Amino acid sequence: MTEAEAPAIELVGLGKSYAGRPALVEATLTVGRGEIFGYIGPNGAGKTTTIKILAGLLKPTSGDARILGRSVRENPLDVKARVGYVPESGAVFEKFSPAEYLTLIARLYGIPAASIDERRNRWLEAFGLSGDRDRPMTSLSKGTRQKVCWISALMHDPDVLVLDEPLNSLDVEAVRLAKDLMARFASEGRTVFYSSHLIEIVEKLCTKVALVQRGRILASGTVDEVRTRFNAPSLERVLLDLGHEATPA
Amino acid sequence: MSGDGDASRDASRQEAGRVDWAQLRPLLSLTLAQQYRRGISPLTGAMHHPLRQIVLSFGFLGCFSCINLTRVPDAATFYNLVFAGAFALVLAGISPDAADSRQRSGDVLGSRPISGATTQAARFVTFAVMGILLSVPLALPGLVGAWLYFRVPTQVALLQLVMLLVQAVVAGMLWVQFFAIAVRWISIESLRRASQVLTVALLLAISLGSSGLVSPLLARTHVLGMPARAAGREILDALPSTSFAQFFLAGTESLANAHRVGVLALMALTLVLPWIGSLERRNQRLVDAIQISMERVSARPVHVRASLRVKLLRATSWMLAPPSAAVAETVLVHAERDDLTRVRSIAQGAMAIVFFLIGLGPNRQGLALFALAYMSFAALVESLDGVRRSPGWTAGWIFFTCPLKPRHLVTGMQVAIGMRSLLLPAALTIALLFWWAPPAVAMVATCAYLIGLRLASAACMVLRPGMPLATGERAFPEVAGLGLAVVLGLASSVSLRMMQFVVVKLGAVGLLMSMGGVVVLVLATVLAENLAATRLGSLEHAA
Repeated sequence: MTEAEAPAIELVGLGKSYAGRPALVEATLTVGRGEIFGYIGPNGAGKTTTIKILAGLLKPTSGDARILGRSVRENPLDVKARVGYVPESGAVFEKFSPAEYLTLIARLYGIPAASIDERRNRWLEAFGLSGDRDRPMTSLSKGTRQKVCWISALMHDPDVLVLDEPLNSLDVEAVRLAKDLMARFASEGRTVFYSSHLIEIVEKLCTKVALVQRGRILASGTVDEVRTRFNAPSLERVLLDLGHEATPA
Repeated sequence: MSGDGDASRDASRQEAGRVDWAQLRPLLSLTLAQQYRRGISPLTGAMHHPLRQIVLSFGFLGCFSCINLTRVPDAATFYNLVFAGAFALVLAGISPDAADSRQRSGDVLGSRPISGATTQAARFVTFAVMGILLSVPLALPGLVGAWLYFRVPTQVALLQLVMLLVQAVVAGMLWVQFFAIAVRWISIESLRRASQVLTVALLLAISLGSSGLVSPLLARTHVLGMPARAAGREILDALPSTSFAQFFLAGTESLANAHRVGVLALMALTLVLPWIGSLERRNQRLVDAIQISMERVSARPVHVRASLRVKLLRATSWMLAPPSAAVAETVLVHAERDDLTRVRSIAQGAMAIVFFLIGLGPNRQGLALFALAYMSFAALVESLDGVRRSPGWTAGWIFFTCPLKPRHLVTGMQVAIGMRSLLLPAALTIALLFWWAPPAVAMVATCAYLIGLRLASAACMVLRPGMPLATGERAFPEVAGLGLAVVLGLASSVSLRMMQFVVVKLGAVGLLMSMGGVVVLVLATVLAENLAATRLGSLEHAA
């Protein structure tokens, strides 16, 4: 399969254990290009572990994950160059100003010096942070720092966005902007892999979803397919039933 | 708005002038436990034992300063020195908390119905305790030393201890009054930084004064036409601490009585000042200022600035691969904006200059070389820890998700360490090598020294790998780091001296042998850096 034909994301028997305790077991999944893919499940299901493997923060214990045909094991740098990651924590180095931080991130991604200022300022403007660009991030709100995380994921123009609860702490305007961005991103043939507990947003926004529980992927497909499979009226009901050990029909 | 809030505010205003003794006790327990109990440092993210650290570090300095027993003519002069050191340490050591600690205190205490007078009383007790904790470990070894060496009567020795405690309380309380007045014109952050620099300067002065290294310098120097030593004695006699030291010692002459009156006046001032109208209001304002200063900071449009080191790095970054330069700059900017590391680097710089000056004199090359080499490696170990550790280490995820070659990370961290801590000791060591040895030998020795530093940094990364700013724990325990620095400092200073010896004895052959040693060092460095890169590449983000 050539790179152009490869799916955006492929999990192939992916596994991860922490000190012998399995957090992800034999996860197999394919995410096509141009999709907004929802990755949902209860707390401790293995969502963040999967996302961290895709972003390069964790190494798989078994199996592999491929992004645009490239293995996270064999070509980690290639993969990282194509992925934009927004963490759940929204943690940034607070001693920097947004402008400084984003400039350094751009340099870490190897963005040409000539285009760094233009890209940075464009995104700061888009997220309404132009007025805060030179203030230390210690004096900015958590939501503002989360916006900086978003920009740091977008600066290098990635092909795949990997988002872990990316709407945490964002205000209404920023949530709207983030949703628009995801939709636009997908419409350009790029892919969003999105983990969240905000099920209403997942249902409205995602073209496909996967349901994960106790480290295993229970089902994947369109929202309707997953609902039908669990014989539930909504994804929320599916997740609530999972708490009571529901199984696919 | 509801009237209940206004009513409760009025009630608290009515109560503002009264100390609530029931609240004072838990408030003190909370404050003192927060300051001195063992726990995770909010500044460094590492486990620390504040009380043990204070007792051990100042106690060690106090023991070291007992050397002065043999240098002074009598017990009275020695007591003057000990009391002066303790007095100055209280003044320098008592400073407002860091902004984030103040924020936390504000969050915890600001929302409680605690009157200003209660908060103020708690603050006075806290400062008095702090004064005693700083004074006693420093001065106690000296007091015991004087009792034994000068055969001071036990009763007098015990009274001196009492006076030391009184001095600590008086100095601490008066210093708070100074803060109360100064905070009107100077920001709390500036006062805090000035206190930190003063503490470092004072500790350096006590260390150097006790080491005897500055004695020859003092003997040759004149201040306002007076020999420096005599001028120092005059200044010492004029300090308030001398009045405390002489309170139970002097006879009945007028000078002795003047000392006693001085002490009593200071004690009265300590008791009265806080309750004088204007100062009382200022004390209340100080409490408020300490609690709300974070809000001021966030309300003011503060703009970040690049330090001189960062500017220097930017100017020379063309020599590095762009990702390495970016890693180095991220780490360096982060470190440069950390108060604690800034003060440490000032202290290290001052010590390095002193040893360099000592090394310029005759027959002190070995000592100076060892000291500078030790300081280089100590700075390297400390700095290596600093480039990997951060209170906000969860933000270190960015180094894992960026497409960075591990080799670039290693180089970036090495450059950050060099720019942050090694510029001055390295420049002084190299200058000293060229001062003492012929140019060819100095050149080879310089190469060996610089490559040795690089090798040591890579080897430390192999032993304890860590991504930049991505861990909350120390890579090396303090004692292990100190031991490592001593061993490396000793090894490198001995090697440099041996190199000099071999070249002097064997001429060109010796020089070739030394160059061969440098080549071996280069090969070892390349190997260590590759190993370090491999180990970095296998790391995962723990958060």
